[in-house]
Amino acid sequence: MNLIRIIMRKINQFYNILLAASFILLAGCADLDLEPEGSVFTEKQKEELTKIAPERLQAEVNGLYSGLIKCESITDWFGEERHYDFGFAAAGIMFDASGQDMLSENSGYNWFRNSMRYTDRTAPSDITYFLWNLFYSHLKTANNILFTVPADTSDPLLKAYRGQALASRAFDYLHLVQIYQFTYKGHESAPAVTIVTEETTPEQAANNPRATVQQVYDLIIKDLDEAISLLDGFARPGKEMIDQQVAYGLRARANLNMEKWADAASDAEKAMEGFTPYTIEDVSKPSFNDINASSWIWGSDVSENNDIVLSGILNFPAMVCSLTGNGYSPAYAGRYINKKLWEDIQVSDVRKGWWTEPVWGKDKDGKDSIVNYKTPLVDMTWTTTYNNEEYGVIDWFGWNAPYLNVKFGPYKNEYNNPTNACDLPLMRVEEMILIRAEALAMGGNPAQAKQVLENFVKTYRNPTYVCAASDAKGIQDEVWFQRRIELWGEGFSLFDVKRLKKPILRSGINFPEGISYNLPAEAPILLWLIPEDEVNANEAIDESTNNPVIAVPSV
Amino acid sequence: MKRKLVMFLSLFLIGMGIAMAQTQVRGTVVDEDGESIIGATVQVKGTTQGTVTDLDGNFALSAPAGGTLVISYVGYATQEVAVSANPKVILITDSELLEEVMVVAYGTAKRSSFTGSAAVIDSEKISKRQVANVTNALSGQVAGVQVTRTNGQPGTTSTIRIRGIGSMAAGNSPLFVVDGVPFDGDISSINTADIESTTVLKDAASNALYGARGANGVILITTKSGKSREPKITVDVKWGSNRRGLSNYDVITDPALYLEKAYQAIYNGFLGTKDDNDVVRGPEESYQLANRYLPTNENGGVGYQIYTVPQGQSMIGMDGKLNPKATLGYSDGKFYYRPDNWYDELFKKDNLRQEYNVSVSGGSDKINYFASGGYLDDAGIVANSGFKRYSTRLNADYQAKEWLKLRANVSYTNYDMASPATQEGTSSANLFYVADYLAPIYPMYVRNADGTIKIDSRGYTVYDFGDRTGGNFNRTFMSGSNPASMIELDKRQYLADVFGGRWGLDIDLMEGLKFTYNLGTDFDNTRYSRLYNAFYGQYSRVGGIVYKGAYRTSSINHQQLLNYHKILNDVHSLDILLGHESYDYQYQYLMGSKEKLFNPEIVELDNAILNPTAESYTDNYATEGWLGRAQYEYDQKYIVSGSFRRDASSRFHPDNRWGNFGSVGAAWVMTQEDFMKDLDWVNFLKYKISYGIQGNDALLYNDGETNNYYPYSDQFTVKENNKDFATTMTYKGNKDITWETSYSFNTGFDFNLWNNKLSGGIEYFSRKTTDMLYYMPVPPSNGYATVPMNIGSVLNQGVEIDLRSDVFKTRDLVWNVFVNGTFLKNEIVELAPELNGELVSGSRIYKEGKSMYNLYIRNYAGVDENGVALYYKDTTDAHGNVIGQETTTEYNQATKYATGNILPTLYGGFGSSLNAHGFDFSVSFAYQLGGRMLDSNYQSLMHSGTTNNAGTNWHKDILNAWTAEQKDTKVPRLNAVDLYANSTSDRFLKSSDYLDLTNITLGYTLPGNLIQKTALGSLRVYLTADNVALWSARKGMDPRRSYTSSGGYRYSVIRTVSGGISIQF
Repeated sequence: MNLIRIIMRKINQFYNILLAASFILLAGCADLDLEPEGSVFTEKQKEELTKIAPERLQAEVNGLYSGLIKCESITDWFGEERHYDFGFAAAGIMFDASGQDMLSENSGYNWFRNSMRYTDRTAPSDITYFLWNLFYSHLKTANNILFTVPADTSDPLLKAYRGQALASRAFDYLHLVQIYQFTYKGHESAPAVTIVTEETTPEQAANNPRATVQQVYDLIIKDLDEAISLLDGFARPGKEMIDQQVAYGLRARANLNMEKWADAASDAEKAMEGFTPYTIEDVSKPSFNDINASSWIWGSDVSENNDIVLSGILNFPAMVCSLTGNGYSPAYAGRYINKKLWEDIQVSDVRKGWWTEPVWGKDKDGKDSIVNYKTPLVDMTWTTTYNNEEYGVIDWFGWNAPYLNVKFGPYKNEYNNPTNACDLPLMRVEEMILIRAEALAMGGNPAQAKQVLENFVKTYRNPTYVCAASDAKGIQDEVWFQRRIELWGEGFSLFDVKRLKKPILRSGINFPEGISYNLPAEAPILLWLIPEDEVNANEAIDESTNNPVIAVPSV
Repeated sequence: MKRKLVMFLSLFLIGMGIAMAQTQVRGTVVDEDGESIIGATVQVKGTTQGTVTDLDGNFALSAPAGGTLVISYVGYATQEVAVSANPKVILITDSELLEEVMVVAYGTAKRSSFTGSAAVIDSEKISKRQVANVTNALSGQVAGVQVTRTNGQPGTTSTIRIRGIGSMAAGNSPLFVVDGVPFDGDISSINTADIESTTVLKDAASNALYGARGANGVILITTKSGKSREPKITVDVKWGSNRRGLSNYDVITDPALYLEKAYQAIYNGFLGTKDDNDVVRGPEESYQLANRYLPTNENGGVGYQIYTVPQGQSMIGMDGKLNPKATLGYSDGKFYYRPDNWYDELFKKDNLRQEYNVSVSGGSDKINYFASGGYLDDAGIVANSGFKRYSTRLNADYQAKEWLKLRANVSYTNYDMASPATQEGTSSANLFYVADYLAPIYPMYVRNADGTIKIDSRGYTVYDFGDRTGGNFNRTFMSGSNPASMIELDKRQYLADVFGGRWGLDIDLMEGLKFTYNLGTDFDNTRYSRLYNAFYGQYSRVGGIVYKGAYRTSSINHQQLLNYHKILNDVHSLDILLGHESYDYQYQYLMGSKEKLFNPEIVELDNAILNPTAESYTDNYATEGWLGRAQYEYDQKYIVSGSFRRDASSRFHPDNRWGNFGSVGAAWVMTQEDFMKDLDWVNFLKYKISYGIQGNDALLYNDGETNNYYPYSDQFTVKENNKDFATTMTYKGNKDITWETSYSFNTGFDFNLWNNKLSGGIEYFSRKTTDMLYYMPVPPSNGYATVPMNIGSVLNQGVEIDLRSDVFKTRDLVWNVFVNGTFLKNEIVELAPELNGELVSGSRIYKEGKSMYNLYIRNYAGVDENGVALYYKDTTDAHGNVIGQETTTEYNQATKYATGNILPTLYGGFGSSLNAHGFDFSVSFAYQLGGRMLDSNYQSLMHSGTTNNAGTNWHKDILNAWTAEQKDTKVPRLNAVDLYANSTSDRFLKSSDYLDLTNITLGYTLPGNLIQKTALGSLRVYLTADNVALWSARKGMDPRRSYTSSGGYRYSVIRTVSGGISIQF
């Protein structure tokens, strides 16, 4: 009896040990090869996907275009969301805000006020970091494609990929060189920005001095030359992509800066083939919001599903469109035109109506004051009902002051549309016409230039237009005036001022108190400093080789 | 039947017994009150021979003469008595037992022989605090533990740092272990009333067994279990009210004074500048312009007119004072405007807090159980915010067989957290910002011309959003917002179902050898609802927005443990643990939104029609480890212990996944030595020393918050671009990334002197974190700005002192006090070699040999002869060497200087309790000394009236601003066009010392003789108050929130005063 029990006990123990051992064995198989699902994907997942769906490489090329319309790119870096952080269009507003043609309230709701006040130039500034990151992360996408796709490929699709990447990279450097240095002419040997290509190793990048302006332009031209040849015959599926004509347009811009007039004129001509400017009728209402317009050579095709749209107010219409149903503009921070510039626009010019005109009258104390605003572009009889009160255009949209832009229409041209899915122009035929006119004039053919200019303005903007100037410089200035109003708000004004070495005149017009001062041509404050993070991590740049810290100007 | 079996077994064992003289023992087991204990186990030491006591507490067995009997019973301290004929054994209850045995990693340990450093906070301490979350009750309780309370919203968690901060880019939070199983869930789901004890493991000897996850310390939460044999029913009810626990800064409250200052800023902005005709503006013109712009949105104006002045007269006179004929209140014919006290309207209301807890616990010789239910409703301090929680728990263990014990702890919690949507930052939606920083001149309500508050056709109060949607003015501060309306009409809710299960079995394999299997699961399903209302505010223009989210967190943990315990010759005690653990974690996220609501009250997607969005993703994480521990004890005098864990984490590349961690420790109980026996004032004295290696795999993304589970790989995201895919690289990974390793050293004494007159410990610790997970900055021109790396090291070292004293102790009166303090020094030992010993990151500087908390900011130099702010700037010679210092008004050209360490050098807590004649009174404090912080909230209240600050309130210190009459000041003059008057500098660096009166409790327990006539066991009534007072360097500044700055504008800490009643049956 006892013996049996002892044996039973032993067997029990044996079972128990077996049980314990099996638990341990079972548990030994923990799976540690885990992958994310959805939020991000890893290199391994990417490689596996490329095996089963090689056509997904197109997605990487599309990254060249999505990289221009992304939001919250520096949220982690800054520690909180910045509402100006919505891609290339935001950079354009920063450039314009730093000039003399597009002004706004100096208020906390104006997310571009630091650019307007030149307090964003410093090395630790979030704006300079934003700009630097925008273009360098964008050209990283291009470099990755150039690294992956062999240069000697004969596959037409792969050639087109390379061509787009090269042109896209040229677009980035063309902006970087103008943000961090003055114009090409006269500054060819001045330090510009670091050059990073598909061949640059991380070690090289860590000790990468500022290339000269000349070196950067050499790369831009080389990339565009190659892009133009690679993109020959590439029929793009949509206008958000770069094709050969866009590459010509980019090279026209570069050649204009380099004052290679003949090349600029011929490139511009090639770029504009098949495109026609907006008609007077087209721009007799707020527009510039649809990539299908005949005048757009290249643009960002923004769909309602895009992050910048879903963000609500981290997008261009929220900041610039005066008729959006959702945004800072104009009730909190409107975008106004330089009053003097507006006054110089002829009454017969349809563009006069792109900004509101003050209506003068007597206020309650009998003093002369602005009592209303008007523009023929907007249906001033429009009303909306909110909490049982009826509001007109001016009250509802919160128009605070005259010279407010109505150039940019709301999405689908519906007033008060809360969806800010407006497409964004990147290159319009009008710009190419104006490049051609300027280049012809400066290249020794002012008569033809005058004809090109008059032809465009008379047909498409101001039927009674006559170009008063006839010499090259005079026509160049006239083209500049046309650019200032035609391309207002599209990010060109600051670089034009730098290229033409013009002063910035803000005093005596409608700039807010405290920033209504004038700056001489090529004022050093116009240059942003290379961001602190680059200076700290790049051995070859230090405070002494960065742009100088300049006192913020005051009245 | 059972008894028969036991008897049979006993006989059987005796039958097998070794030949030895046997004594027939007949004894009794009673408790301290002399009541007999039924079912206590009586065992002959060193054998399996034993019995249990009968209904009268009696037992009988035969035992070897000269042997020892071990008597144990759940809830009582195990006792050993020498074998005698008729022993009477008195078992001492649990309360003293807690001092003896404590919960440690993968088991329990005798405190007296523990070689590591751990602190236990018992349930009584926690139950006094009115917190939904145990982390909020830890402040000041434990040496070495720092608590920062970033947010006062009920239900949120405090940030805990144990023995300093050891990581730059990885998580610094301790590991939470609930009932033996790592816990990544929401600590708020654990009812604090269910917590038996909270153990903080601080050194490597205590927590190296947690390998991968132990480097930042471990907090073990143990829930209650049944102890008494008789069922015990406890009912506790608390009822009280909440108020804002911290007042605002000393801001201007007089509208006239505010307007005068705003006027002064605009006036100064014009004075001396040139007009369009290049004529310098004089006082008269500046006076005219300032009056003109004051009620506008331009040039520093505030946007509102709230005073009526006689026709043709100006609001502010040439003397800078309000027109004496001005009367408060202004009507434009359609509306009437007068300021409201937003602070009072939003915060000066009492909000109810109520909490009900019921528990039943008990046990028999085979089963122990604890069951509880709780309901908490904490309304917070603002309307429509709060935390409601239903919690239930059943903990039980069952001795199924002699060799098999089953355990299960199962809890289910449902909570509903409603909160104002935005609780931090300078957002217009953040009522804590708007209410505290809004100038005292703005109306909160839209008023009809007759002065009555406007009510809309739906019956809603019409609030003034300051954007001309009601009223004709445009506020310059936070236009388009009105938090009062938003808390009335908007909604944000987290509705959570949290399930926690712990199942286990213990199998006695053979004498001293036990196999334990533990399965732990935690599931948290949270439903998120968000409504932006359709009627008022920014989103009313799109007809309202509804968001709906579902977050599911699950974790499954398996543990297989083998414990071996052996005592040889009564003096050699050996404990060995071998084990294996695996952990799987998954987080699933789903979120959708739609605009334009049909029924404005229903927060569901199907109730809205436009612009749908949807997103979802899943993250996966797992760890696996093999572990072992051995402890040898000689005669309860010398103890050595060692532990080892080999751990793997899925966060790392398969080549770098496994790491080895472990510790060694030793202790010497000096009071066991003969030479100490004569020192009868020394009751207990132990010296201990330990050293160990621990890991940390918790790499975060660059935001410092989000877990990064795949840092070894480049990461990409896919986006929509014109109806096609577009991918971009969003994260640069590094295949070589691996464990962050901490080397911890700990040594010190535990003591008990003069019979508890003084007890506690003193310890020195150092923790060196090497191979720090760190985001190495690379030139952003690469297209990415950082690469994760294992580089550099940080050293945290310090001394902890923990003292407790029963100052006075008699039958009727017990008075004790406690105090603890931690001296902490934090130092960066090594940075990446490329950095040459220094890394500047924004306003922080990381320097070898210096604290990780070292600000890099400009130094303030007062004001110049015009009242403009000055900053210091280094002057250099031709070679760039610094040769001196000068001052400049150009902030950007001023030099940045390191502030040196700003972390507090000493922190801790103290308190006292008094029990006398049924009354109990206790008070506890937390404190911190020797640190500094940027008082950035004060900074924003010291603006100079610039256009983008117009309408922001001022601290009363602005009255000291420079004027021509008041030149002896360091406060720059008011000026609407100034840029750098209140820029970040050491001017705003303020001592972060504080003293926090965390809790006061007063209770009365009815005398036993009164109670005995009723069915009650005991009855206690009490009053308790939390977050009673805070003393800091400046009124309104809360140094408990952060180590670096007061900023954030967050939900204020809550002061709660409650009355309660606690009954036991």
